[in-house]
Parts: sequence; structure tokens; C-alpha cells
Amino acid sequence: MNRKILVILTGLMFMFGMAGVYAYDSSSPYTVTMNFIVGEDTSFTVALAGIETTIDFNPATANSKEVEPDSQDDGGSTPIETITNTGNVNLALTHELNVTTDFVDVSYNTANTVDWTKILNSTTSSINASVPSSETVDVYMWANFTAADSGTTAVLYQINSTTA
Amino acid sequence: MKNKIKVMIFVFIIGIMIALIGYIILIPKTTANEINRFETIPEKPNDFDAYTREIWGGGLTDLCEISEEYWMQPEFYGSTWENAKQQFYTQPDYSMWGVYGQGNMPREISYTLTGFKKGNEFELCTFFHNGFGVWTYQGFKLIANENEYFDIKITPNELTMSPTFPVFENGWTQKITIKITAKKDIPEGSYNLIINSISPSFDYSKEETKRVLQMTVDKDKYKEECYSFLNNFERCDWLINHREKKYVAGGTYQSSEPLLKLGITIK
Repeated sequence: MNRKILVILTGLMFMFGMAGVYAYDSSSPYTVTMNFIVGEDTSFTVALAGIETTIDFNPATANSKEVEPDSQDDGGSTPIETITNTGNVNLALTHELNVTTDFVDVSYNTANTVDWTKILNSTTSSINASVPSSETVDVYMWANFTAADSGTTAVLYQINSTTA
Repeated sequence: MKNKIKVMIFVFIIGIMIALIGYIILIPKTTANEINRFETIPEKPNDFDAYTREIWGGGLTDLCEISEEYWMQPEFYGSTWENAKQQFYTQPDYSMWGVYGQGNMPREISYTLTGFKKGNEFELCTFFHNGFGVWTYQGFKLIANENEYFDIKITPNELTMSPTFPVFENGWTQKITIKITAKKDIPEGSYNLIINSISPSFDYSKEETKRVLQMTVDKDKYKEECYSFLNNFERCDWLINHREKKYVAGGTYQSSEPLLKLGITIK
């Protein structure tokens, strides 16, 4: 839907003619006039592989390398997540972690090949500078562990989007 | 006379044939295996297009007055729905699970208030929906940015959006009412108010997780549809069993674009 702009007409008669647009109280008179409405949204959908609602890495050892998150299969071209721009404006997508963990390095790519120049950490990094409306971006991830702590470490992963 | 009867019989048979062909072509068929994704959505009013034209063209300005027969239609959300239809419904990818995502219509509204003083208030409405292709119940809290001059009350401000996949369930989209009250006399000028969604409270999510688990889902239909795309019954059985009746706290995945921008000019 295209951006629609309704230019305000300030004539008093016109405002009174717009039933439901203004409110009036004789003790405190005021008018409310809608100037314009933008009939579009920036909706999006994030799908995760298999039955995941979070992105979980389960290394076999404390020093496992290029570990894929559960349900991702780079050989079978199944990314851990796909982000679809279902809105009607182009979106720039970035992502980040809320903290950088010293015993694990995470790389990401929109293709199913490992690229260690693309690191996911607490610094914002770009997934795609401009995702057109109705387009989907795949995100693959891999993790290198070095003397990893035992137990579960939870880190917040955040995707951000802005209009491109 | 005999010829006349023959012609009438001929015309009658041709008429029946045309009617049959028309029925076959025009009436949508639902096979036993096909899911009716829109069963819970009310019948679309026959003036739907006229209404949406006026709403998004600015001719109909009070969104609170629009009845649910209009805003519960996926088509109400314009190209957002058109974009999603092919992606998630015509050829759904059952190997991926739509877990998060949301949208709001409209994106921006601007008002001019004249003579608006302390204690004055006005209401507006917006339509918040679960992302298309999402098969989770997503809990949200709707919040407004703090503002020195305006008190903003959002109703409901904590809510759960129902799935839009494999079927649209009741509550996939909800009308949100926003009441704006002047905290004090407001100087002339322009003000921007922002409405956003974040995760709901822990207690809300706890209760909603329990409520969703008590729901009844006809998942056999979903398994059949999954099988028709993945051709692997065991995998579909496993996927659907693990995906059904799942509540998640929404707002985990955020758009930096606010859900709704309100521009207010005070004169």
C-alpha cells in the first residue's frame, strides 16, 4: 500500500464536518483533526529451523570447532534462521549479542559456507543492508569453542531492523 | 413443433453443461487433506474494498469505529499480506518454524489538536497483528515512550497474539485503543509519541504458557499438509508434535522502527 498523505484543511466547517475526528466539551472545547495516516507497516517474520525457539550450540568437547546450532544443516542448506520482510518498506538488518563470551567465537553468514570475517559479538554487525519487501534472508551460524566452561551459558541475541 | 422441442432440449443441455463447467471452475474446492486457513475469519463484507480505500486514503479517520469484519481480514493489511501469501501459505516450508514477528497497521498517524488543555483527552485505535507465517502464541507488552505533557494509556497493554499458521486462529490480530490525556496545558508545537512492543512480564508469560497448553488443536490436518510438502511422515509427526501449543514471549526480536508513530501538533 502506498504511503498516503491527507493534507489538512483548516477550515472550521470542514473540521466540524468530520464526525468522529474531533471531540468537544462545552466546558473545555478542543478539536482533534487527523492530518495523515500511513497505511503501511514494517512487519517481519523470524523462522527458526526444525523445532527451535532459541539458538543452541552444543559442542561435543570444550574445544569443538565450527559447531552448528541445533537443527541447522549447512550441507543441506537449512539455515538456523530466516528473516522475512513482510512489510512494505526496505529493511536494513543487523544483529548482535548482549555480551561477548571469551571462550566462544561465533561466525555468521547468509550463505551456507563458514566465513570467519563475519563475527557475531556485542558489536552490531550487518546481515543485509537492504532487504526488499517480501524478500527473505537466511542466516547460518558456526561456533568455535576454546576451553569452554561446562554447563549452560545464555547470551541474548538481538536482531535490529531499520528502514533502508 | 418437433424441431422447436429439439432446439429447446439442446439449449437446455448446453445450459446445464455451461453451469457445470462454471461450478467446476469458480467454486473453490477443499479436499479432505486441505486446510481451511481462514475458518475463524468472519465473512468479508462486500464493501470491504470501499472501506479500506477510504481508511488508507484518509477519508475515514476514526479507526476505532471500524468493525472486526474488516480488520480481521488479512487483506486489511494490504501489501503486507500480499507479500506473505506466497511465502508462507501457498508453498509453506515446514522445515522452518515461524516463531517470532509482528506488525502494526497503520505505521504512522498525525493529528492537530486545537485548544487542547490539561485534562482533555482523545482516543485512537490501531491494529496489532502476529507476524504472517507464525505458528506460536506470542505474548507482548505494548508501551509508550515517556512524555512530559501526555499521559498515554494503551488497552490492552499486555496481550497474546494467536498463530497465523497453519491456520489463522482467533486473536491473530487485535484492535488496540490508545487514550491520550493532557497532563498539563501544552505549549504550541510538535510532539512525537512512540508506541512499541516488548516482552510481557514473567508472570504473564507463565500463566499464558499454561493456558496455551490446555488448548485443543486438530494437528492431524497439519501433519497431513506437512507430509504433502516434506514427504516424510516421521519427520512431520515429530515437527508438529513439538511445535503445537507453543507460547513464546514476543518482542525478543525487535524492529528498530517503532510499532506506531504518533505525530501531534498543538495549536
